[in-house]
Amino acid sequence: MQERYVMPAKIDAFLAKIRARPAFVAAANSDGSWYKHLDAIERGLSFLDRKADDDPQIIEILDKIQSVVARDDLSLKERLLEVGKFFVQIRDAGRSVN
Amino acid sequence: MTFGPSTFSNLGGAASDLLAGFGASEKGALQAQGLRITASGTRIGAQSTRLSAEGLRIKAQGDLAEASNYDIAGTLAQQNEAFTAQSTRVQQMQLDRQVTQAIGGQQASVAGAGFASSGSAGDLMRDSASQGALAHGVLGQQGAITEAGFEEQATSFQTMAAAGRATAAGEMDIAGKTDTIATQQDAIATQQDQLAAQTQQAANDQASGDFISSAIKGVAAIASIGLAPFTGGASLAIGGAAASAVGDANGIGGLY
Repeated sequence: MQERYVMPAKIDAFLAKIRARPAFVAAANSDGSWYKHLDAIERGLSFLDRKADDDPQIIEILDKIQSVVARDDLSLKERLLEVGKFFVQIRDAGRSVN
Repeated sequence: MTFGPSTFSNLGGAASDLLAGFGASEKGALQAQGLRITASGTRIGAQSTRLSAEGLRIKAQGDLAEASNYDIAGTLAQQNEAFTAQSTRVQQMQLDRQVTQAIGGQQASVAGAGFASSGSAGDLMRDSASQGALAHGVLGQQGAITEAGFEEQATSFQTMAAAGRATAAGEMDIAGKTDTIATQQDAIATQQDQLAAQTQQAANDQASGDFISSAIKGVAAIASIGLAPFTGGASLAIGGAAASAVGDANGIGGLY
């Protein structure tokens, strides 16, 4: 088992909101694999947080992620999709493999 | 984004990427560990090679010491040869003197008896002179044979000394080349260590890429929960959750 990573508070709160959202709970009760999806997002974010120590650009992106997940003017889904865009940006920039 | 077949594909894909990420990381760690062990083995090989070189140097020193002893033995043989020549000459002189004394004695006896040094007396003295010459010659020949023996010894020792030095030089040369090989082995070990580090890094990168891919699929899948009621595609996956979300403020809702 991987040791659970301690997330930045804003990200942790964001993930907790998703985890507590009734739609997610209902979906997860129907199929436990949804938890794995959320875990995958959490692992991706914790990976970025770890990589941020060595990569200033990832620090910048992580800051943006922390900013976007805390935005109350956006719905949870919109925030999640924004986070997804950052993941795609990192993947396309090859930051995850450099 | 819609909730449909791709959602299930994303679900499976995310898990697969996650597993691939952990797998790549662990596989890379094992490969790197294997390379590091190989590097350690190569370094031990280098140390062994250096010991071989050192052994060759010690053997060369032994060969040089042996050559020095052969030099001494050769010099002694040459001195013995010279001593033998000198001794032979001295012995010949002593013999000549004895013969001369013997013939002189014979002459005195003949003369004392009132005989002339001719006839039988002359024969006797000539015989003594002849025997003396023969003994002188034999002594000289024996001396020459002994000298030749010492000369042969000296030559043999000189040859052995030269061979010892040549062997030592060859061993030192091989020791130098062996040291070069050891240095190359160390360089290979260093490269193997570098390769191990690169393998680990590549595996980590692969794992990182897998984690990001997994996260992207996770986002796509979870985001689809909220849209599902409007597309009608979620009912199969989340059943009542989707149905109760449609326009119901008190329902479980989507992610909105």
